[in-house]
Amino acid sequence: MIELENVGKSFDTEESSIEAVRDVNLKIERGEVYGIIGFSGAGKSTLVRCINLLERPTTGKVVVDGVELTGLPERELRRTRKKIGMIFQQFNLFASRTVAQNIAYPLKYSGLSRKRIADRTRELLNLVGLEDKERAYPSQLSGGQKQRVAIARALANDPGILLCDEATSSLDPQTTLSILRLLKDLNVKLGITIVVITHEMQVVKEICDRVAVMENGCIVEEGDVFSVFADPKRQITRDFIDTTSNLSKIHALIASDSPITRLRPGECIVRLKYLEKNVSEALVSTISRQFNINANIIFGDIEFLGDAPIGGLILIVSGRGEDIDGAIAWLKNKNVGVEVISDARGAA
Amino acid sequence: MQEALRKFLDYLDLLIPNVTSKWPVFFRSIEETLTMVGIAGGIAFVLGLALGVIVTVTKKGGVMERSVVYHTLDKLVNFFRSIPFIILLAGLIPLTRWIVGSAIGVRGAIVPLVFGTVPFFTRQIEAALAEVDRGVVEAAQSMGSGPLEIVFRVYLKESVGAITRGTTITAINLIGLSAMAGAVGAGGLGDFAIRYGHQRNQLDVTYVTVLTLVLIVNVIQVFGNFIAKTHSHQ
Ligand SMILES: Nc1ncnc2c1ncn2[C@@H]1O[C@H](COP(=O)(O)OP(=O)(O)OP(=O)(O)O)[C@@H](O)[C@H]1O
Ligand SMILES: [Mg+2]
Repeated sequence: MIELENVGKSFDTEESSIEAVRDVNLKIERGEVYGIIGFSGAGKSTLVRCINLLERPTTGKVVVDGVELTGLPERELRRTRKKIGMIFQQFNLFASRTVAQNIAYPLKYSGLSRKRIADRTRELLNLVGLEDKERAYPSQLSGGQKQRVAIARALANDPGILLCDEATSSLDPQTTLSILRLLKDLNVKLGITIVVITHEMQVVKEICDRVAVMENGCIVEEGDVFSVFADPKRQITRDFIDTTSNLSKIHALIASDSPITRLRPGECIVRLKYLEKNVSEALVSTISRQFNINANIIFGDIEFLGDAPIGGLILIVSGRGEDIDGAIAWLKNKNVGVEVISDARGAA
Repeated sequence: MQEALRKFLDYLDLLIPNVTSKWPVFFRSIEETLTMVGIAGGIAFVLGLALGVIVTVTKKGGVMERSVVYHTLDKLVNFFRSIPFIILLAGLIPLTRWIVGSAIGVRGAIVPLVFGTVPFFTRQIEAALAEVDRGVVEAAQSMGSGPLEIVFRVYLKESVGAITRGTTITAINLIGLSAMAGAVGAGGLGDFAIRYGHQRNQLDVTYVTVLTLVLIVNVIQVFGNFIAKTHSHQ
């Protein structure tokens, strides 16, 4: 388990002091995949680097599995770090070493015999699916392969925690997906705790159990991935959702007076948002039958976070004013978020 | 066969009479140059490598940040780099005498050559090590490596190619400096060329010396390139 208590980090530069991380409190449970998402400069990298003390926090405590790292002497800290793997956006492999030598690097003073090191290296290569690249140099690998080597190297000493700082940010979407799958696999197979830093919503959606949203060095929102993204409290969280959802396009369409969104008198555009995991009811057909209104789905974006649908629909509804109001009230009662985006009911 | 050799030697007598008339002196000059370069270079390599590493790791943000050590060494290196070698040669006479017991001859030239080379080589090493990506060093730290381990297993290992290139440049530079060592009676090819080629106007001596130097420099360069190439996996 990783606990951060009031962790803060400021950098003193010549003219000023930058507070990269401010008073962060976090608890990451053993075996979970925890995402930290934020835009560039939010302080995400600084924050993960505080976990293994590559960056020493200026304030606060870092406790990993009950041991306060911030209080350890240098030697002890180094030993503890062997049990906290880390991978990076730029892979950071040793260019002068082959794949196998890169992976064996952290095993050098582990007390293992040459033979055991070679065996372990092969085992790790298998784990990340690179059996045939043992003798290649990093320069001969693709980005995805390099990251696999980095993962194998980070896992060499059987760490309980793997920190990933933008581990997929320099990979193409498909490779990103394969690396994320690998990470999830390792999480399940080895029970390793994974902390993922990213600015990509997709990464969080794909593998995280819980997520923290970071802005200006602070954690502004935190919780399990579904609740945070189903019902964001902060504008920045919504901004992240918008980066992967099409629903916000509706505003642009309305602004440009697209034929799709042009309303006749008595119609209105509403946006439905799923706030609960158990939405499997036939919402649209129910409201049209029960309230005698027409509901025309013009836009939809629903995807699955784990096993729960997230996203929503955009409808043009037409009918009598009180029926529409009734339908909206009924939906709200079902715990569906309803937002009237554009309304022509007042128009004669 | 022998006939051919004699013909060739006769031809050389015609072509470079002032060299063929003093082969022993010429060969001794080469030996003196190689001795000076070899010994001073060897010592300078070890010292410069050590200093370059120390400067790199004690720098701000380095793995053993020590600002006092860094600034002291940095100033010292700059100081010695700014002294022209010919002045260093004269200025270091008392020190040389104290260290090696004599300020003249090949022995006397070693100390100033080391002083003239180490600062330059330190900078070469510093530049070579600076090519090692900060992120790679961090990866090593994240795997629990301490500063010493990082120096040997990351900095030095990762920059063998760059260090070789720096060493080649420095060795060639050192040959240049050794030509001035004649000033303290250390002989060498430079001295040979000045004494006969210049002062006695024996142009052929100058040309042969230059050719010999070109040859030595090339051997060093080719050798250096070869090592650098076998260690480059970019
Ligand atoms: N060593 C440093 N010295 C001074 N300022 C720093 C240092 N490292 C980070 N910062 C500053 O701290 C802030 C947070 O940086 P950080 O790298 O943690 O952001 P990030 O969220 O990881 O951004 P990105 O997504 O671009 O990687 C930035 O304003 C950055 O300029
Ligand atoms: Mg970052």
